[in-house]
Amino acid sequence: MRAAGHRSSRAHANAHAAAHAAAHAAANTTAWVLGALLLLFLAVPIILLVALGAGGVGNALRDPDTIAALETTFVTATGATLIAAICGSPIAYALSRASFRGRSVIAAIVDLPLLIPHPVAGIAILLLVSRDTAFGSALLDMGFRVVGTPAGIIAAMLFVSAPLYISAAREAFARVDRRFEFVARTLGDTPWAAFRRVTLPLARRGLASAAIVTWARAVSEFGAVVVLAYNPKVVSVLSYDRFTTGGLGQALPIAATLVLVSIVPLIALRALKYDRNSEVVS
Amino acid sequence: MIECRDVNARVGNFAIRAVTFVVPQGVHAALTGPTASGKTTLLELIAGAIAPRSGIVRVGGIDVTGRPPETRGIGFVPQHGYLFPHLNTSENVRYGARDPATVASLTRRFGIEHLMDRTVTKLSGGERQVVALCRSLAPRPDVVLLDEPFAALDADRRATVLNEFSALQVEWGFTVLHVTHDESDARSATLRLVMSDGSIT
Repeated sequence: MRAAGHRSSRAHANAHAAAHAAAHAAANTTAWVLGALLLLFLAVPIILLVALGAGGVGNALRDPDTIAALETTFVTATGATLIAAICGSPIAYALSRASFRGRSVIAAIVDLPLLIPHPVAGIAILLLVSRDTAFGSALLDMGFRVVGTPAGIIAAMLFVSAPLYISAAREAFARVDRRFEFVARTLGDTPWAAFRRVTLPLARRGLASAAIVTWARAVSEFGAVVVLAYNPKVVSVLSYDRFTTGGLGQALPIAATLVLVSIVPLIALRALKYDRNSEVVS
Repeated sequence: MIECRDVNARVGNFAIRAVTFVVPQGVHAALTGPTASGKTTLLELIAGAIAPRSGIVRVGGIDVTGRPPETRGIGFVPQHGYLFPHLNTSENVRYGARDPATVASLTRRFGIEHLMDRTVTKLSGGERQVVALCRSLAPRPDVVLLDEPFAALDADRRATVLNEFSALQVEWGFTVLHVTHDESDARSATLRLVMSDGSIT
């Protein structure tokens, strides 16, 4: 009787374990399916766009408007990336190293542009540079126009992409062990010399990948750019313009061109990332 | 000369308490004590990586307490060497050197001439430590702080390197504070400091 009871309780435990394993497997499968659906949703429209639009890329590249838009986009995105790198690196470095007064305020300011809609960012910059403000009228008095110029495009791109640079560069600096800097200091380096001779070279791959993300973000910016400069047209504005005037067929080749152009830096970025994983930094 | 007078410091949860000691000019002092007793923290404090909360640090008789590391005349060999991975062996040794003759003599004496063109990430643990030692000596420091610099060397190599180091110390006259767990290293020192729970006992 006791033995039978023992057996039945063991059978019960086994059944329980099996049910548990089945539930676990079901949960696992569900998680995979949900993840796969999202991945498909992210990838398929882009693949479709390139597949259907690729045939028109050749023609698009013979269209002077597209060529001009590509040129404007690359020049302004490169300008925005350079400004983000030059002005953003010191901020990124400070955030990665020191705990100082106002650190959280700086971090919040840096995150701010990520939280507001991009057209709103454009409107905010428009307010700053309009002739109604002292700053805007001073710029205009000096003959420096922002609205409707490459400078406006750069300003819009910088506003939305600089935070990405700062956060990626901050990670790149944080990965460099501070002891390297300290050893350089004991070997006679000033803080700046140690940064230039040790920290910067050790962070260079991370900084390069930060710059690529920034550039790709600047190239694909639409909302803030369109508010500040409908003309000269960047590629994203041109594709929107063609879409509203000529429909999907007109917009598709340009959209495909833009995607192909933004895929190139992303592939370069992946390559850098894989490289970095094998690199010894500590 | 290295002098700490009533030095207190706090790094994270870890404290250095009322540390007072003197290592006279040209003396090789061993600093021993259990793991996590504050030995490395004390070296970093003397070298200037950490500022004390109170107390005075003197190097060569000069108060360096508030001074940046690059003005202290201290050579520092951290545990594991911390060779700059983006530079080769030669560039590492030359990093803070004032003249090429010193570099040439150091590399010859410590037997690392054949490693000069190598990538430092490809060196063995022992080779890295010797390179790090040479790099710290190249600027001709007044004081050398060593954090278990010979731990990765086999016994033979260890004895050779230690002999060469002692000979160089007599010639150049620098002062040494040497953190070690090795009893034979500690015996080769002329002064012995023992640290426990953040204090010199």
